[in-house]
Amino acid sequence: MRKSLGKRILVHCVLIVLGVAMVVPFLWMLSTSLKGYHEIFRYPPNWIPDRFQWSNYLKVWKLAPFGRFYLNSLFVGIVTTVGQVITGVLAAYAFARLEFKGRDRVFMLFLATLMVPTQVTLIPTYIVMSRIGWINSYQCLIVPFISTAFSVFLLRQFFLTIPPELEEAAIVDGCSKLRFIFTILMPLAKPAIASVALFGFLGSWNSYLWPLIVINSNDMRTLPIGLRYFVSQQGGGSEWHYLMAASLIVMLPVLLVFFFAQKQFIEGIARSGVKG
Amino acid sequence: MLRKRFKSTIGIYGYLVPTIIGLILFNAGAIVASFVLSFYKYDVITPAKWIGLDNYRWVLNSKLFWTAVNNTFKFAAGYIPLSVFLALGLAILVNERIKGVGLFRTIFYLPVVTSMVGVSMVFAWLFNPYYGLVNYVLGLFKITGPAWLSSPQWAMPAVILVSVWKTVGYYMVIYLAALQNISPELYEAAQIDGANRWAQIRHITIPVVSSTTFFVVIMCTMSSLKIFEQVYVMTQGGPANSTVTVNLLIYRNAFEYLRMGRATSMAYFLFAAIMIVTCIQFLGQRWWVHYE
Repeated sequence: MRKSLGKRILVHCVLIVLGVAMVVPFLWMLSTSLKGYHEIFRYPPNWIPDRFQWSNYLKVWKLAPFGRFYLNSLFVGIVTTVGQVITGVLAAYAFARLEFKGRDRVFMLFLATLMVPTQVTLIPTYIVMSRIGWINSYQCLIVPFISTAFSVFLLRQFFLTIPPELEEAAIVDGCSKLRFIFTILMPLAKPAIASVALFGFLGSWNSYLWPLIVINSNDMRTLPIGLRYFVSQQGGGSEWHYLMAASLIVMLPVLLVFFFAQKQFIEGIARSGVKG
Repeated sequence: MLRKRFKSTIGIYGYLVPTIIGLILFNAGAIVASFVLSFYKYDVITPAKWIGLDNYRWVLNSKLFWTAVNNTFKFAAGYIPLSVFLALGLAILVNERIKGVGLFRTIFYLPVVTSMVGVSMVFAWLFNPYYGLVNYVLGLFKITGPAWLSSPQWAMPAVILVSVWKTVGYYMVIYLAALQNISPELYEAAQIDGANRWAQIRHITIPVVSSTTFFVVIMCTMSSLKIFEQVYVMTQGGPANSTVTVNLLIYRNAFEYLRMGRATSMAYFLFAAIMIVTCIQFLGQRWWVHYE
């Protein structure tokens, strides 16, 4: 179907208007973060700062231990992701390939947990954590999220598309089940694993409510609650150039990851959505 | 033979152990524990005390709770239709075979990956009544913008806008996947019959993607009922409780006032609401969802 020039221009115009609406908040954040204090209250507002105040970033970095927040977020994110991939692959393999009684019923039960709002499970989990003395610790941020229904579901759907003959052949050749999983199945399932890993990491990196509840010291804060701590330090205040610089510090890594891995993100969602 | 079977049974449990532990401890177990807890008065420090249905009664009699329910519905009433409409519209646009369409897909998806806290901060600044960009742009069109987050009427619409902006790309991608599954012959046939683009969208695209719309509506409903971060960061439930949501109340009761029992009973009301609404949506789908 070839479209007329007029129609194509119309589509482009609509896309540009909407695209600008999506991007403007990011650009405004960037612009404000490089302004001086008096410049942020100028009217009408200017997009390009008179002088680029790169020192805003240094200042913010010094006002709160953002370096530490980064390390915490990174550590928690990586361990959670690795955990989710390992437990996900094992469970998905069991649900897709092994024959056992009640398999599909257990799987449905597992999927049903996706329906349960987090608020319901949040409070008992918090009480358990405080009973075993895990409040304000890395384990507390990691362990409850190490196995998720979403990753099992996504991986199982992928494993189902791999012909069982492959495994039979490997077993005949004397390959153990575990070795088959790690050396043959996992490399084949790379796209699905990449999606699980990306969403796992993103979920952990952006997670807010749980860290807000269980973390109470600066050396344990992750980036989102670190940002919140920084804001409260400023008294909620009017120092928007600092607040925007801090927001950008928090958002930048995922934006970068996204630019390099956008195909994985978008395919991952399409995969989970269409079959869901 | 028996030994081999025994071994393979152990093997299966081996694969499932981490998952099953997670399921029992943090899901199934927690759901039951939460239910039990809702009949107790418990503040973590002193031992729990059985108080029967008192928590539920208290919640039902709390005016603030009903305000929160009302606000949550208001949010859903704005967020769900806007998201569905915009996501489908964007998906149709970025499904066109034109130049630079990949860039637009990326741009629309961008907010999805960012943290809600950061986004809320940025929008708190954009919605600033005096120096914010939103009111400046409105001013260019000779409109005096409202006080947004500090106005009881406009705080909720602002929260809805932020949420739509943040998540619409996600639903767009889901729609896009559905659109790309539609066979081009359908459109070609319609074109031969003289159907214009609007007629094609109305009579082909919308019915064909209705199962996706159903999925998107369910997802949007669930996230509406769970809304927390936006209001926690941008408005703290204010002004004049106009953005207090059920989830915010649960958080406050549990972790600010340490009323765990009361909070879990609220969580159960929410849970029940999600179940009921989802059931209604499943029952209602045969009126408008077409499966191939």
